Amino acid sequence: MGLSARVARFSLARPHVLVVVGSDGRAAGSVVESALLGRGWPLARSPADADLLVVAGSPGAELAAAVELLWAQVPAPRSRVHVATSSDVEASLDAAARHLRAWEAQRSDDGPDDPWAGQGPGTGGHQHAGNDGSESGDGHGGHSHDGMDVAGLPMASSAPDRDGLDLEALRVKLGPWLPGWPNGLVVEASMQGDVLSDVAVHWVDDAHPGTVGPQENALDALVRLLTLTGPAPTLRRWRETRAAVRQQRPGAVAQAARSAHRLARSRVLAWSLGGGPALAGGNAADVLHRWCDVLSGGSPAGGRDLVVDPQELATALQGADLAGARLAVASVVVGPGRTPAHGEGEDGDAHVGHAGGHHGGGHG
Amino acid sequence: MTELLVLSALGAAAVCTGVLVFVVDSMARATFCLLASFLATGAALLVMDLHYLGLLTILMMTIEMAIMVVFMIMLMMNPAGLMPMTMVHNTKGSAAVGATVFVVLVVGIWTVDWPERTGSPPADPTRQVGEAIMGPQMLLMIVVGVVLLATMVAGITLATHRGRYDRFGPDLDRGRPDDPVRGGLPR
Amino acid sequence: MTRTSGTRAATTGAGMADPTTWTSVWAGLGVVAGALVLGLVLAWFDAVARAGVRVGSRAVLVPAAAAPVREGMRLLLGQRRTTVAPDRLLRTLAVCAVPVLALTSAAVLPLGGHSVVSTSADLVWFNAAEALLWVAVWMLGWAPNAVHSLVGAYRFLAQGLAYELPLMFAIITVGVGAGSLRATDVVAAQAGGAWFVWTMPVALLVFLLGAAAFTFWGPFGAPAARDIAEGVLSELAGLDRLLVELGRAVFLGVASATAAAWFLGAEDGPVLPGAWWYAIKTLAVMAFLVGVGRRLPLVRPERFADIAWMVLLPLTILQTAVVAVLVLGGFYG
Repeated sequence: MGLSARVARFSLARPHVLVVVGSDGRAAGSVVESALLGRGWPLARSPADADLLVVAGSPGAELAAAVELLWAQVPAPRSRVHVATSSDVEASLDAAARHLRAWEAQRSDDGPDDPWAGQGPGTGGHQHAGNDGSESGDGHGGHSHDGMDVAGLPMASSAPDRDGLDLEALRVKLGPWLPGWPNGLVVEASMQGDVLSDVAVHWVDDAHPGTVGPQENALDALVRLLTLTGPAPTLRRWRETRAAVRQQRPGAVAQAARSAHRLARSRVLAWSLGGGPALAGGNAADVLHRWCDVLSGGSPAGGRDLVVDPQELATALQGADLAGARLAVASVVVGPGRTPAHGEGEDGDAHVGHAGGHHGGGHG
Repeated sequence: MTELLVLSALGAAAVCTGVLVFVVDSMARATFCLLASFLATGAALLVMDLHYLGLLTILMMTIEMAIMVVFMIMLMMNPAGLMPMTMVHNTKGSAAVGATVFVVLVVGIWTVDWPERTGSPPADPTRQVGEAIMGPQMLLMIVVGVVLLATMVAGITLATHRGRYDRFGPDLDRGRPDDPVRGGLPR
Repeated sequence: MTRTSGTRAATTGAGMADPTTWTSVWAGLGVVAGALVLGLVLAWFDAVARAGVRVGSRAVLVPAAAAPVREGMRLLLGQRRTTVAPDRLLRTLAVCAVPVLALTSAAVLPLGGHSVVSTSADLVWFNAAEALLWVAVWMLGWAPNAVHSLVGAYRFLAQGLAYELPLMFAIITVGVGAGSLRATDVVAAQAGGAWFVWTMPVALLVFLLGAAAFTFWGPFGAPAARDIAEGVLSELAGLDRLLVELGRAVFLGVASATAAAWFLGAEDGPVLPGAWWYAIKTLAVMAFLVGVGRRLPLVRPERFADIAWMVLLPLTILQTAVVAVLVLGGFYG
């Protein structure tokens, strides 16, 4: 084994993993999560931070396009793996790790030549406010209208904002993948500074990932919130707790209840989560408290009051700043909604091209 | 001799980056060219052993430019200078003003009867600066400080969109102000 | 003031004067090496704290301690990346500026009565290096032309407006107590156990808090938080990311050593050689910083601004006033 191979083996022994879970991939995603915990492989915080892209379940067309965009942003050495069912997780991860560490082989795949080639306008997170995004996909050379694009990116245009200023508005897309984000949720919004307006919410491929029990919901929400606020050791413990409960290890539920009781008492965490927009009858700190009650068995509603409709979510995010919006989204469980909340494609906003606004808005 | 060379180089750098402010085509670059000009000036003061004044120039100008760049750009959501824009306006008028000021300054520099240096530089010029400011000029500094503070408060009061009636209600009887973003203190 | 600066200033030459060029070069290289070691040690502490291990659980401790080296190598080997229509010049400047500023701040670390660069305003030197970070981080977030990155840049400036004034007052307090802005004078003023921490505990805490804030580390990590997919770091990979991460770690490590010098008397202590004391104090500061910082959740800038302006600023002003009164009373000799 040559020196460079040794170096690659050492440095990539704990690859950073970006996990995308399809609407039918919940089971596989759970197994991936516990496998990563067991191996000590950290979760990637952005595509630029990732070495390994794991897709759990079978993504639909919209999610597949987002995955391709994410993959285009992962720098080499890199590897991707598709885990369709939970049975082949360990083998797939091993294979991906071998591929990753085969440093010499990686030399031939030098990553994306131009990480953005062919992604079209909007990869820098730019779309006209209120524009129908019709120029999506026409590549870098696509100066399609009014001389307002630079490098194929449409320019933001100004609009009145929350504070009575006339700020430039940018159409951004949050999701379907972000750290501490519900799998498959997509929030499209106009952003002025970091304030959101014109919010539309839908599920990627219009497929809700399916409902689970209150306990699982509570654990997911807590892990999402702790992903956004930390502290790191607490997040790690809760990820382990969630994995234990999912695997139905003896005593796991009781352990979770005890931890929830402790977490609910943390004033510092409550302060850190506070101040955001109200959703499901409270800000993120209140909602965290109620999820903790669900886990420790003190909630008569069993967390049903913490499931919100996409439309409700869109309304709550109106005028929220990005940090507050992220906390609000992470805190609740978003239900399927009776109809897609974004207007059934009538206004052209519903299906803004996949290439548009993924990147800067939500990393795919 | 070396000091003189470094000083000249820094002076030239200050002037060149100053000129670049009007050459580059992005707000961010223009701001940082201006900052580079200030940094060169601060470094020149350092070379002259005026450590405190030099470092203070660097410190204050850096923060000032960082604030300025926010105000210049916060209205625009097109980062990285996507939209090239010209940094000069009213070229003829400003050229005339610039040339006049330059001539006045040059004439001043060459015609003023500069005093000869007496004595030697102090061991710690920082202390000297402090004593000069805090001794005979103390009253002036206090007055200037209060005036600056009053100007800032007045400026913000005039500029802000929302007054206390918006925040605390028409009768000022709201317990918590109605702000779009909550601060970290329970008030 | 009961003391003149003359006696202390004699310990170091004026300006950047080292007798020969070679001595300066070696001293410079020494600072770079020392600063890198400080950064690495800090990163080790951090990795162990992040893993959340109790002392003694070797199964997690050993891999965690290898993490900084591993991550560094990983980034060194990794591909760099770019975005559509970035401002390449500003990005390059910013990526280089972060580590360079960290090393610059290390130049005024006092060691054995000397520092590589000794000006009559070392305290302001450190402050200026930290302030230049405002521009560097803002450029870092601006240059890639991406939303999350830009939001991170603005968060950093918002955070800066919150921490900067309390930090400045904390630094000024040290200068007031020592009657000098020269780092070596500050250390000399604390000889014989008269460490500044006894009379300036608030200043020390605010200084460490400011250090965490300007390296956007731990609870002050909002500019690079997960909710904006790492914000200012979100478009960096490979060498670019390595340089920025290195700069942050070195800056925080240097700030810990600086705190040990300014507030804990650097080499001052009984029995053991001075260098040992300095190292022990620096490690203690790092352990404290990391141990507390990694237990706290994220503090969003808009939450922190309130605290900084309504609580910390009055506290630090009070701290400076108390120290000023003590100086007038001849407390510091």
